[in-house]
Amino acid sequence: MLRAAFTTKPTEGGRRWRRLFLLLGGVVLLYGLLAPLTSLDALQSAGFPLLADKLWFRIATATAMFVVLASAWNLVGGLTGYAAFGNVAFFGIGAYTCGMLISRAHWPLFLALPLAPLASAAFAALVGVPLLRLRGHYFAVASLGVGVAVGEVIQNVEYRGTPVFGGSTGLFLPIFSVDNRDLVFYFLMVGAAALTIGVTWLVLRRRFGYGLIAIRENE
Amino acid sequence: MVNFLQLLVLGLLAGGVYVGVGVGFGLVWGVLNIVNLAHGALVMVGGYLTWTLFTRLGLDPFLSLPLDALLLFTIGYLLQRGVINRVIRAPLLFTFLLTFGVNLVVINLLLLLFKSDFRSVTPSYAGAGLELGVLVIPFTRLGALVVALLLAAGLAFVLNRTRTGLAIQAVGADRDAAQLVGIDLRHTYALTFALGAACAGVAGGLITLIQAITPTAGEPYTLQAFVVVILGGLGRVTATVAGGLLFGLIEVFGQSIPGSGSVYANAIAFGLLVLVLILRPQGLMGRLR
Amino acid sequence: MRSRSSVLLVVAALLSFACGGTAGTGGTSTGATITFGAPLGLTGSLTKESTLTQQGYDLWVDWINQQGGINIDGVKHPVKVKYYDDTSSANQSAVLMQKLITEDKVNFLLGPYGSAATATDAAIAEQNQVPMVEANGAAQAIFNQGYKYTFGVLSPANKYLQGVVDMAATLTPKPTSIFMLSADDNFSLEVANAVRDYAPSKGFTVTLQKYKNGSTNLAAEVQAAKAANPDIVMNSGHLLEAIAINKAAKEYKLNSKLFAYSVGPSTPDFINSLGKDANYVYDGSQWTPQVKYKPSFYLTESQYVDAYHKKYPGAGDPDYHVAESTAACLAFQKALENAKSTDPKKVRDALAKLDVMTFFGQIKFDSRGINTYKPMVVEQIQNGQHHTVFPTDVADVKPMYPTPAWDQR
Repeated sequence: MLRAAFTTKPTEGGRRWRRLFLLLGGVVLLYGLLAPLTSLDALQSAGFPLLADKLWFRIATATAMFVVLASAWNLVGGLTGYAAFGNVAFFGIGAYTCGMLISRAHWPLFLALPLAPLASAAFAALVGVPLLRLRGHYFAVASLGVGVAVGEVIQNVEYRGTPVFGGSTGLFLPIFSVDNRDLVFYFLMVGAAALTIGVTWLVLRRRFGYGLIAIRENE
Repeated sequence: MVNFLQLLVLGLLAGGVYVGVGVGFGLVWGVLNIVNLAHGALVMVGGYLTWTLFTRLGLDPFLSLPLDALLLFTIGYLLQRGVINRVIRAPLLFTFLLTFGVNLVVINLLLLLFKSDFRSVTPSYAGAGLELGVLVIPFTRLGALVVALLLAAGLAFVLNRTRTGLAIQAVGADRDAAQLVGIDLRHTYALTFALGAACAGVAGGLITLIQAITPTAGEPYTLQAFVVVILGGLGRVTATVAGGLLFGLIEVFGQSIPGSGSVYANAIAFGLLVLVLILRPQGLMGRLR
Repeated sequence: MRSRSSVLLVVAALLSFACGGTAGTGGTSTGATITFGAPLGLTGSLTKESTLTQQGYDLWVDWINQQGGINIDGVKHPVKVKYYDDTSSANQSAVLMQKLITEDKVNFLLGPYGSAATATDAAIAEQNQVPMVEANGAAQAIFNQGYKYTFGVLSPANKYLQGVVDMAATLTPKPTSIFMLSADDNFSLEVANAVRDYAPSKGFTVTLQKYKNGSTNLAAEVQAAKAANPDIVMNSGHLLEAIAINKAAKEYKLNSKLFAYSVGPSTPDFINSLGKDANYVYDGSQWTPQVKYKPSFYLTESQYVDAYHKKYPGAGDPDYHVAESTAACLAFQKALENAKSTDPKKVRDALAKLDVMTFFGQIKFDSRGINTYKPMVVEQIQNGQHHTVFPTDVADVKPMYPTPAWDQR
């Protein structure tokens, strides 16, 4: 995958560094997948040291989330070169879709979860039609404008006097009751990261990905 | 009717600040093709200088504006020559990243020097204003508008009637051709950025009269400079003036929508921005590039 | 890493106490140090208010450590507070609170400043089942979530300007119209909506105009107020907006018989920034130095004011943010004494049953965890000084009403 994006052949020294990076990355990945398992009760009572406490999970889940966000942005900004500054709107729409389904319609989490990407994708398709006609700086600013506007609308829109999406208080979701909650959410996020990276990899192998890079090089 | 007139006045007065912030930003963008994300932070530097001179020496804020311009001119020149010049021909993303980094550095330097307390400048004539019947026009804001317009006029004069200004425009039009006729590219780049920064400094001085400042208060101004330049159009100072005044009017009228509608003022401004970009990307008065 | 060494420090301290054994006077032994954790907005937009909160906590820590510590079942436990700066960001506050619990292993939690941060922190306290007593988050949204581990010693948001409405109903000539400006964060909206719902019962008409939280250019809103020509102008927001509105009111000659702001006028910064223009402004206050409660423990009102002057000379009188923060500590102190243990669940239950009178007023929590038993008072700034003007049994002067026009001052 990395090779497809390189335009120069890696040197012998470069290959050594790359191998080192891959090794390091593999170690970190392994740790990231195995350490949280030490928080399971079964392993705790067997005497394993706790390598992942609540704070660890909080930070690690946030890290995985940023991997998802960065990879997703990379598909537009990195591959095609279109500097999209309003992608946070998609994050918000996904979050609110899921949140509203859970808090207002009382859907269970795993039913609401798949709808989030669908809603964001639909919005992106809608907004992309006019927006993608612009180039360079203009696209960047327009995208930013969409991002800000969406945030403002979601925060302020009211129906009969009460904010539809919870206003500035936000949506309070019930604390998800499941054993090893932190572990579950952590692996969900890691799964999302794996999914995003997998999609990027697939795109790069296909003609579609080639087309995107071609756009960046010379539209 | 009176209410409408007063709102009109308020809008133009608010627009004055936006003009001040927008002209420098637009200059750098138009000529150097650099979107300076640190613009708001530079505005705050000017604001803090005005505040310091007012608090320590009792210098009237309007009198400190030339000093703001001087300080920011120097800072801008050195910044461009030393740092930003490295990404002058790089892809868009790199200029964004670099100026974003500069933004963070400037903000944190200001935080170190001044802490995050809010500072404001209240000269003796602060509450007073011109009263035309029922219309009230506060002196400070009127002064800000006048100065901003003078600033824009001055910038336009420099750009159109001086050799340096013409050199800047030449570089903006075609940098290779400009080099062929003997214009020192690096010096001109730095000069342009310095002029933009000087405008930012003056805008900062004006802003301290109107609101309390803190190191992070510059962020919204960078965003608003974006909107102003796009609304008015890239390329001409007069376009930015039009954009700034228009933005001020939109904001004030948006904020006066009764009840809950007023919180949409920002959303309206950005919605309008997106619309303008889609329908007429060159803005009200600009040239398409 | 810094956090690792601070954990070692606490562990070392605990070990030394365990080995040290008896160390106090009068036969009471010294127990393990009790550590409280508090993330505060020491930098950022909430600096001023957070600093006042920290002052309130520190005043109590000095006093209790002078006594040797909290007396739990005969053993005195010294107290320490660990602070982190959340840069006035609610998300950061939540992360830091988790850090305090997991890494610094604090025993209990003291609240941050502001309803936004308190709301996110309450969720963390609940998830970790560590009791938190807060004094600076009055939005009822926090307490309607069914959290069992968060307690608020202050009166809830909806009461902030109710006192002003009650007072206004007693004034002559009686005002009848209120123009309510409100920022759009949840605390300010709660205050504003409470006035909108309550005032008509006292014979007022209310017009509500919202603006973006954190705005400093409020000329258009002041103009809207001017166009409505109301008897009373109120603002629901924080210190910055209150200052901006007052300045704009003077600039644009917005006159009214009564100006009342929910937060801001009680802080020393308000008078410092505005000078003479701060006069005649009212605010709803959680506490003033003039209230007359008979405390059952800790200091009286005047002793408290003296202690504040001694520790923070030059800062003037303590405002209610300082007092309410101290009250949060007092709640913990009493609860720990009553529970006779530092076990989180026992302390939580003791807090739920708490009912005690202090210099701050009655501290008792309703079933949701907020203190609905303490009344708010109304303050007015007269000639650069704060005075309590309502209710009449704690007032030290009469309100200066109506407010004269700007050019007649």
